Amino acid sequence: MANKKDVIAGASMAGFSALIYGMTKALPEGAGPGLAPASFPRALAVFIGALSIVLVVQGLAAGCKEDDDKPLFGPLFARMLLFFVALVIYILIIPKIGYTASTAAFLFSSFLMLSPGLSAGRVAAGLVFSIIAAAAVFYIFSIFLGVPLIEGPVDEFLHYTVFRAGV
Amino acid sequence: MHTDIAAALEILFSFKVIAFMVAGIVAGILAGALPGLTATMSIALLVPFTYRIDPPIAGLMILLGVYVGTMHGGAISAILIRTPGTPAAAATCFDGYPLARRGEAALALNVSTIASSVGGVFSVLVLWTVAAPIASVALKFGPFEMFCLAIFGLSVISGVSEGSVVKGFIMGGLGMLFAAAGRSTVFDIDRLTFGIKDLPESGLRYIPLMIGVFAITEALDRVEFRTVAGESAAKVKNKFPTAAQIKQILAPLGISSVIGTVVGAIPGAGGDIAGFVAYDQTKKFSKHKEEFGNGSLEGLTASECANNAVTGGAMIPMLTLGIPGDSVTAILLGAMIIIGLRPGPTLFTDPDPAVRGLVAAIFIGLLTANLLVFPIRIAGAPLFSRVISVAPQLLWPLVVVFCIVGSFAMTGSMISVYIMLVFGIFGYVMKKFHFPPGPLILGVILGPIAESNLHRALLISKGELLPMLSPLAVALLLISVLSVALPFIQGMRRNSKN
Repeated sequence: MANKKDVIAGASMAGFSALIYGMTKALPEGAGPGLAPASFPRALAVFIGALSIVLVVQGLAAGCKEDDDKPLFGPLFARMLLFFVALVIYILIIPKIGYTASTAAFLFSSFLMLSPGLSAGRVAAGLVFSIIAAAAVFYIFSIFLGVPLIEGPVDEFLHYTVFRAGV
Repeated sequence: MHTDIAAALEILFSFKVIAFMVAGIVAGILAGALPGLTATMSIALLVPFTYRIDPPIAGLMILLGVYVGTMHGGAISAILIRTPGTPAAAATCFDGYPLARRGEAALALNVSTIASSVGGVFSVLVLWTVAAPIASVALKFGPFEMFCLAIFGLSVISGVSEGSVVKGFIMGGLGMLFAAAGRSTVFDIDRLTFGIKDLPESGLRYIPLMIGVFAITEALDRVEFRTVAGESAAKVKNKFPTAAQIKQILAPLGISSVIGTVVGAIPGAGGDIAGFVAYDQTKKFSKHKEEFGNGSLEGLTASECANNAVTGGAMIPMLTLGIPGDSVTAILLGAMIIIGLRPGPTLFTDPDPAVRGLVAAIFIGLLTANLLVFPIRIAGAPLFSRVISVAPQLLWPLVVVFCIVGSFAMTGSMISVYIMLVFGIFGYVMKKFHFPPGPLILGVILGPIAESNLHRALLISKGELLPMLSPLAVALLLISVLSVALPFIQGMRRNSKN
């Protein structure tokens, strides 16, 4: 019986190191006494590849550890997946609608996803929290600390009307 | 020296710098009190914002404040809900929680405050004393010795790898590989870009990498595994130790300050190890051994004093050699580079009065943070103890929002956010297979140092190996080999005994 997790991880790492090794062949080889641009990444690819093989061998030899019996995914994996999808959508819409609106939408959707039980009052509280938190974060970073954020119509309204900065 | 201190005081003691430091300490305590928000993650999240702050030293003071604050904050949840806020506070649960259960939570919190502050101040004084002499020795290092030093730093991976050392070294190798990708400053060409144009330069890229690996991974993990109810803890009102109790903890304070500082200075050995070692040693010397594990003030003091004494100790190799001993100091080192400081032996011999003033400001700043945290924690004990009740459905989405703002702030480009997301997924997958994240960061920081110095050494020696092998280089390589081999030998001995 093998430790499947280690075997899978080792085999994947070995494949990745082979890919990197192949990519270093496209890099120029040095002619002088110093290192060539390919030398260091290539040595690392060999190093990772060798350790990955050790990991596979260890996995095959070790037998099934107690930990390997545990499922790979947690009891709330579906919830995590939804949260992750919301995160990806959030990142994709920032450049389109600006920082504050996308942040408020992400915070509210996450609140709905992660809350244990929902009532009308709780949903309303979540909505208010999301809007205030998004606006507060925008104020602190964009206006107070001067960190440039992508601005959409809502941010411009906040920036030039509500917070009256840059006027 | 006096002029450096005067310059440092002038830099530090302005309202703005002190206010930022206090904000950093408070943020650090709050973050440390929340299980899951570690010092590494909190500092990685804050670096992108702090490097824009003027003067840059104010930004660095926030980070030092957060560093000190998180080490303190970890004790709060360890005492109140038996969950260490940071790994360094693991041993604090042994006696802190039993004290809280018998209604002495306030006493436990205040004793931990005293112990933490004493340990922190002691370690900074040691750092201040030994830093310059160590740096003057390190100045004699040539490029090959620097390469060997980087290799020694990487050998630490065997110590910071929880679980499998092989997995730790794979992560270290991957970290070096990720740092090598993109535009090479040594060769002035693009390498391993996977066709991605406009990849930010290595120094700017590794902040999104760290945020992804530490914060996004943790957020996804928390959402997947933890229930959503916030932890509840009893309300805390202040209660201070009596003179007899103070007398009882004096010896543990002395033992643990020294242990914590020494353990902290050893690359790879962090606050958790320091806490356990000090706890064990204090128990051996104690007249009340039976109280350990049942609410002993000495046990609580030992753990808290040692894990905070690590803060100054861990800065010794980072500041004097430019070699971070753990992931927190690796991120602090990155933050110092971003604001224009180059930690390493030359930092202490720089003729520029401005740089010398900044170095003195780091020492005084760290000392001030360790002093300021005391009244802040005493005054804020009732408030800080309530932070653990924050609902996760509010906390973790907000952490993600900070991750995105922080990554974007580094370059002003969405590519940093995409890098953060990719490394968040990478960290999540690697966590599933029990690959430790700490070595990845060490690899990212030390990889470029190793490559550039080996390149220089080979150019100087015209490609010959023998001229490069000075006694110091050989010694460093031997120590590295020993450092890697020791865990394997210990493991084999343990197996043969079993």
